Amino acid sequence: MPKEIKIAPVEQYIIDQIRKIRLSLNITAELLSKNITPSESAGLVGNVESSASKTTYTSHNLNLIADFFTKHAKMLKDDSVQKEYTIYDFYPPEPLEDLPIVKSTYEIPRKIGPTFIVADMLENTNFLDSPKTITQVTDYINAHYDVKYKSTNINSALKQAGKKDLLEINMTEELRVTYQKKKNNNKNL
Amino acid sequence: MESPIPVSSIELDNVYRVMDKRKSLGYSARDLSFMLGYRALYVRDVENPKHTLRYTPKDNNYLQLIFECPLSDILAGKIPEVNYLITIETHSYGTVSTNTIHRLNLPQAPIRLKEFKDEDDTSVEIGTSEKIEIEKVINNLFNSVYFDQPKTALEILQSFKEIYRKTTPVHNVIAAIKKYTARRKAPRLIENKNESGRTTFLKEPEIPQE
Repeated sequence: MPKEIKIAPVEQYIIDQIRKIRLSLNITAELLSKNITPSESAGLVGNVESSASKTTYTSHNLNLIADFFTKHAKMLKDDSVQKEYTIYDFYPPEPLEDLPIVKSTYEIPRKIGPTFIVADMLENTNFLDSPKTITQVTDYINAHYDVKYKSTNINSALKQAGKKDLLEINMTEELRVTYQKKKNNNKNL
Repeated sequence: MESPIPVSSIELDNVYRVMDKRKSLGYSARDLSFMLGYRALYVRDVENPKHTLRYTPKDNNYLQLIFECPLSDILAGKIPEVNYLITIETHSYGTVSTNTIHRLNLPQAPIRLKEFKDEDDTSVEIGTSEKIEIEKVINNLFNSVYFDQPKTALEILQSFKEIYRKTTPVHNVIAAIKKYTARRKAPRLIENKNESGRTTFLKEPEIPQE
């Protein structure tokens, strides 16, 4: 059994907040890592979010992340997305207890929106490694997330992921549109 | 002039916001090290711009508990220029040294970021009656079950405040606690580290002799 790693509750809170915002903005761990530590650890965010690693964010990292999230959010056409981020978005509203807790990876709540779900599918499942039709994607989402969507509910989330170069959108000979995860979906958006 | 040093802007800003806050509350660097549960020169080292030690998010959370202040008092929300190139000038006037930190701002003139004097560690002497009162509070805690469980410096100071109800410099309370940690044998307070790496104080009771 792997050894449990303990960190301060505030460190866990910050890691979870950044993960939540990162996924809501459709940013991969690799893309965020490259933007905050371009020359060094390409896997920084993955390490920080892993319950098997002791790594946590520094204040310097948080400053860079707030800046990157802001730049990224401003590029999105969706006006409902928060456009400005500061370090205060990552900290709890009140200070937390000091004694360490076991480090964990934040699980995405199952009752969430299509953009969040598509980002989660791309990052945490192999489902879109092969081409899928919108009906197959919809069935998968309804089976694995606590939602009852029609194809029309997720159409724009898939298109958005395509625009961000995270998904390949192709047409089959039968004139069916298919969606498949890009092999290197870490290009800048 | 010494060669410029690259530093993280947010971390440097954090250090001097905390310095301003602690000074406004009358805490010395040693007092704050004690309250954080770290070694006595920890805060002095953090505040030395040539030192690489900085406050972490975990420290900022604990500093909020110590100062009872919002995060914005000790940490900026964002600094667009993520790194600064700084120079440090130190001037001595007799026994007092002044440190000036400048940020290079080429091609324009450098910007003065911070100026501060090295702290005089000499504690202000307090009157005997106040000293006795403070020692009495700590002694009462020592003779109760209070120290049967390890206590952090912050917990002790919070308990002290509730009982004493008057303001007194933290170093007076530290001096009263040290009377029990300096003892060579039980009954005394022994210092340990808790899971967060902060010093705790626990009573070592006297073993009755047969």
